Amino acid sequence: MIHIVIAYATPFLLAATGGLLTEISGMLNIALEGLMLFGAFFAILGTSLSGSLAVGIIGAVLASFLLAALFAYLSIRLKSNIFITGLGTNLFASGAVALTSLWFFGSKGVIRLDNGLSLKGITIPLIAKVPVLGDMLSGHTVITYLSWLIVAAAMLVIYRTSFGLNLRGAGFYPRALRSRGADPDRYRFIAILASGVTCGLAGAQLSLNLGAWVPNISAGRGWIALVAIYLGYKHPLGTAAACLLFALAEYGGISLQGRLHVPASLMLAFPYIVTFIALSIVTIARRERLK
Amino acid sequence: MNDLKVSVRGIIAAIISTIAVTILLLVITGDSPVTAFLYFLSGPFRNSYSFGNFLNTAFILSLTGMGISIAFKSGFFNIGGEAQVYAGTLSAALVASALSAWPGILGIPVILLAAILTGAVVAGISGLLRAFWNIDELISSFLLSATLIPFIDFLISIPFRDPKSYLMSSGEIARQFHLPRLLGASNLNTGIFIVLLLGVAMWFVFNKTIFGYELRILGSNQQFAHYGGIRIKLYAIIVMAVSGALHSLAGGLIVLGYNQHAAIQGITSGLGWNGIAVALIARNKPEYVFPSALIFAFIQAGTQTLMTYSDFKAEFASIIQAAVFFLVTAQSIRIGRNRRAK
Repeated sequence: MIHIVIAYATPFLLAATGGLLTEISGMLNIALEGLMLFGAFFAILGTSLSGSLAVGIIGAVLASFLLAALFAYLSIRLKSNIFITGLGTNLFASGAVALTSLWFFGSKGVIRLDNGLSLKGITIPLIAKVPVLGDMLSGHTVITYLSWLIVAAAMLVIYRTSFGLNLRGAGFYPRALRSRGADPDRYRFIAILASGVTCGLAGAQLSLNLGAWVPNISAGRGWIALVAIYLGYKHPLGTAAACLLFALAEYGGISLQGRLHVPASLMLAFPYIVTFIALSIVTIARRERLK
Repeated sequence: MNDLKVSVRGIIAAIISTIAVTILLLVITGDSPVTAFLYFLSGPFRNSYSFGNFLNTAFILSLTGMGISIAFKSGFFNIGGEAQVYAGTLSAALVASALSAWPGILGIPVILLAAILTGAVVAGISGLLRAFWNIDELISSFLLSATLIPFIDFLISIPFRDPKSYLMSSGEIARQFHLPRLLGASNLNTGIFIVLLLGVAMWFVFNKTIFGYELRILGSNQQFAHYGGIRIKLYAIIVMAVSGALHSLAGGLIVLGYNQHAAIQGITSGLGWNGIAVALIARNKPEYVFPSALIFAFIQAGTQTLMTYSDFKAEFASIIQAAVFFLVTAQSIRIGRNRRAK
C-alpha cells in the first residue's frame, strides 16, 4: 500500500515543487494543471513517434517548458493578470491537446502505446531485499526517484544558494531585491520555467506509467498541488508531506469506489471535495490555534 | 471621456485579436479558410432564429460578466462561475417542478429567487472562508465548482432525469413558468428585461452609493480600505454572494427562457469562463458589460455555425477562448501602462 501511495504522490510532488518555486517568488501559479496535461499528452506523442520512452519524457518536459515560457512571457513581460493568463493556459492546454491528438492519432479519445509499452518500475538491487523498506522504496519509475531528488534539490536551492535567497526576496520583499540590483521579474520568470519542467515530468509519469493518454488525465492534480503548497507551509518538506496525504486520499478513494460501487461520474468530484475539505479544516485549525 | 476611449479601444482590440486568432487557426488547418471564415462572420445573422439566440446569449453572458465584475472590482476572485450557473439551472428546475400547480406570476419570482439563493450560498461559502480564515477565494471557489459540476451532472443524469427526454435533462417545467418569447422561435425572451434592470441597478450602486464607493476602494487598496474603517470581512461575504447570485440567476433564466425549459447536462459550458473575459474587456464597468458580452456571444455563434456547416473542430472554440484570455489581459495592461505614462 505504501508503495502505491508513493507512486500516486509523484505527480503531486513534482507539480507542487514547481509550484512552490513560483509561489515563493511571489506568484500563485494556477497553470500547473494545464502544464501537467500538456506534459502527459506530449509524453505519449513523443513515445509513439519514436518508440522510446526516454524521448517521450524529453518531449513532455520540452512541451510543458514551452507552454510555461508562453505563460511566463504573457504574465511577466506583457504584465498581464497572472490569474487570467493562468486560466487561459489551462484552457489552451486542453483544447490544443485534443486538436493535436486528432491530427496525429485521428481520435481525441484514449490513445494506447503500441505493444503495451509503459514506464516500468526499477528494482534497486540491495534495498529490494530489505523486508519492509524494500517493498516501499524499490520498484518505482525513474520519474518517481527523480521527483524526490528534485524535492531535495529544491530545498538546497531555496535555502542554501544566493539564487534561492533572491528568489525568496522576489516574493517577500521585491523592493529590497531591486535595491540590490537584481530584477525580481527575472527570478519569477525562471521559477515559472522550472515549474514547466517539473509539471512536464509529472504529466509524463501519469501517462507513461499507464501506457496511455486519457483525456483530462491530470484530473485536477495541478489544483491539488497548489493546495498542497499552502498546507505544507510553503516549505518543500511540508509540501511533500501534504502531497503524500493527497496520494493517500486518492488511494482511499479508488479502493472505496471498488467496494461501494459509487457512480463513476460522482467519483470525478472526489479529489476536489477532499482537497476543499482538507484546505478548509487545516487552515481553520491553524488560525484558531494562533488565536 | 478618456476612460471611455480606453474602454472602446480595449473592446476593439479584443475583437481584432479574436478574429486574427480565428483566421490563423483556419489557415493552419487549411480546409477552405475563406468559406469557413465567412460562416464564422455570418453566424448570428443567418436568420431571425440565430440572431435571437445570439442576442439572448449576450444577455446571459452579461449576467455572468456582471457577477465577475462586481467581484473583480472589489478585489475578490470568483472562478467558480461555471458551477454557480449550473447549480442555478438545477435548483430552478427542481423548484419549478415542486411548484407546478402555482400560477406563473407567483411561481416565476419564487423559482428565480431559489436559483439566486443557490449561487449566493455556493459562492458565499468561499466569501465566508476568505473573511474569517483568509482562505484564498480563488482556490476555494474553483475547488467547490469542480466538486459541484460532476455532482450536478450526476443528479441530472440519474435521479432527476426525465426518461422521456432524448437529452440528459430534467423534466420540462410547467408551461405557465415559460418566459414569453420575443423573436420567433429563438431563445430570446422577456428575461432580458431583468438583465437590463440589473445592469442599471449595478451601475447605480457602484457609481452613486456609498456602498459602491467603499467597494471600489476595497478593490483598489485593501489596506487603505481597512484603515478607512470599511468592514472587509462583511464585504467579502456580500460581494462573493452577490457574484454567485448573478451567476445562478443566469442559470434560472436559462431554465425559464431557453426553448428546452429544463436543466440540461452541460448546458452552461463556457458561461462561467466567458463571464471572466466579458468582465475583463468591460474593465469591470457595468456600462461596458453588455457590449463586451455581445462580442463573446458573437464568437460563440460564429464557432457554432462553423461546427455545424463545416468540419470545423469543436476544440477550436476552447483555443479561441484561451487566445482571447491571453490577448485581452495583455491588451488591458498595455493600455493601462500607457495611461500611467501620461
